[in-house]
Amino acid sequence: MIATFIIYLVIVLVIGTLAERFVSKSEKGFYLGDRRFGPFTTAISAGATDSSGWQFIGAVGYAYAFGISAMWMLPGIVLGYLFNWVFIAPRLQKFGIEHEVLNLSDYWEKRFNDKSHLLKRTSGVIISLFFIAYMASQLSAAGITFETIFNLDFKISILISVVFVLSYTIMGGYISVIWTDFIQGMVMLGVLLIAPIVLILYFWGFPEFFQTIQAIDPILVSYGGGEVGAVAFGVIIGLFGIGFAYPGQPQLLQRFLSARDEKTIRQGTYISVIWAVVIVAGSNLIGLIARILLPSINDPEYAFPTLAMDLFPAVIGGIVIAAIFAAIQSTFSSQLMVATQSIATDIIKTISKKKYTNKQNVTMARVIMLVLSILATVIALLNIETVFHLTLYAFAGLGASFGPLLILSLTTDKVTVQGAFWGMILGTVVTVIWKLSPYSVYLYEIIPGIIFSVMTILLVSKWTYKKSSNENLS
Amino acid sequence: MGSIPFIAWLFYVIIPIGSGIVTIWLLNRNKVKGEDK
Repeated sequence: MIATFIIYLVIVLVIGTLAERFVSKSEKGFYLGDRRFGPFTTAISAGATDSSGWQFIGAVGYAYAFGISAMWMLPGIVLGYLFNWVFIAPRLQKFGIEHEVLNLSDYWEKRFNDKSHLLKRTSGVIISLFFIAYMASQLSAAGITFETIFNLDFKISILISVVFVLSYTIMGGYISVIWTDFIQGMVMLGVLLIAPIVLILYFWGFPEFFQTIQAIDPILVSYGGGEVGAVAFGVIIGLFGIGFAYPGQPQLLQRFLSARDEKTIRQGTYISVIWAVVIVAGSNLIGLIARILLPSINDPEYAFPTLAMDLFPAVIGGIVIAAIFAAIQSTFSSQLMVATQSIATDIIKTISKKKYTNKQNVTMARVIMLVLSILATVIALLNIETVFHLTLYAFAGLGASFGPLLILSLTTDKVTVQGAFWGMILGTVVTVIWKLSPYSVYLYEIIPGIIFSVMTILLVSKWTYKKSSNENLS
Repeated sequence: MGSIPFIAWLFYVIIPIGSGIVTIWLLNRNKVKGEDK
């Protein structure tokens, strides 16, 4: 098992570090891979980035505890994907090429013609804050995996994971993130497509499988995960609401900016919807299988690694562990990339007047990566939240801060810089306050976050809109 | 196959197939719109 896993790690490391030879030594090369990725690399790497350790650790654990009802997230995720790929991607990609946009914060600045850099800096700060939490959740997932498989201490596991991912991301930049994401994505897809089907057919057959699940606990085949009435409705809306966050995820929007052309986006749409179905259904079935075969796990988030350890032949077990680790790595590396770019180009370079050479830019990026990784590691080591909830929290924060603004910016010319600024701020603040309030148990924080953000953007823009200045913009 | 509960059919079969149909419909609709322009 260990040998298979190590072979996988070596392949990823070699590809990750070799990748930098294939792009120019400029900022565009380091951050966007020279904008030349096709449909497969774009869609699979977006999927792999999105389906993080959350899918293998958090979502499997959730399905283990609450059953099929966790699948309410599937229609939400598919709609979120479709909205991103069909509505946002073509527009963003076109605007990105026409205006040489490097990232989401750069998009705000160019779209709203904001010479004060207010939007760029605010967006950079929000991205950095939520991404540190997001990255910490990935490291916790890595800690759980290594702890289970290799009997390593949770903290040492986290340190090994961060050193590994950092080593290739720091060398190759965005292109190594995309290439390693692609390989990692294929491993994840293979495992989540094949493992549940083989296991179910081997042990039960489909009708018997669902009967066994029902016999263990009828809650597992209920629509509200055992809840009824308003609480069940809240749970369903919450799971469904995960999809609402997609338009605001900078790490996914970055994929649209780096896509080669419109055809890439079109073909990528099909690939990403197939991806969503396989990954969400596969991880849900794995959770249910673990519930039957491993009835006495203390923490449901250990379900998949334990299953891989106890049940599979050594070689297959190694591949499964590689897939879990792949999910974690691909998300962590993409987030590291986006957060680094935010701090370097959105904050530092808009404050400092100094002209940087390409070499200095890349060195600055590497130092920031190191600092961010250390911060995320510290949060992960504190181990205060489950992977499932920590990820969803960061996901909601980004979704509520940027999603409504992005959609409005692509559909109307009436949004002003002030409206955009306060919309981002309210999206962030409401998400954080709701998460800390007792109501977060009943309703996922993204819903109030989005509502407040939309209202703020529209109201403030209405107050501050001056016709003449915005006509130039359109 | 009657013994598979409806919730399983819904989430593992109906919604995935529905997602595929919606995707094809949306992309074709966009393509036609693009050609009209």
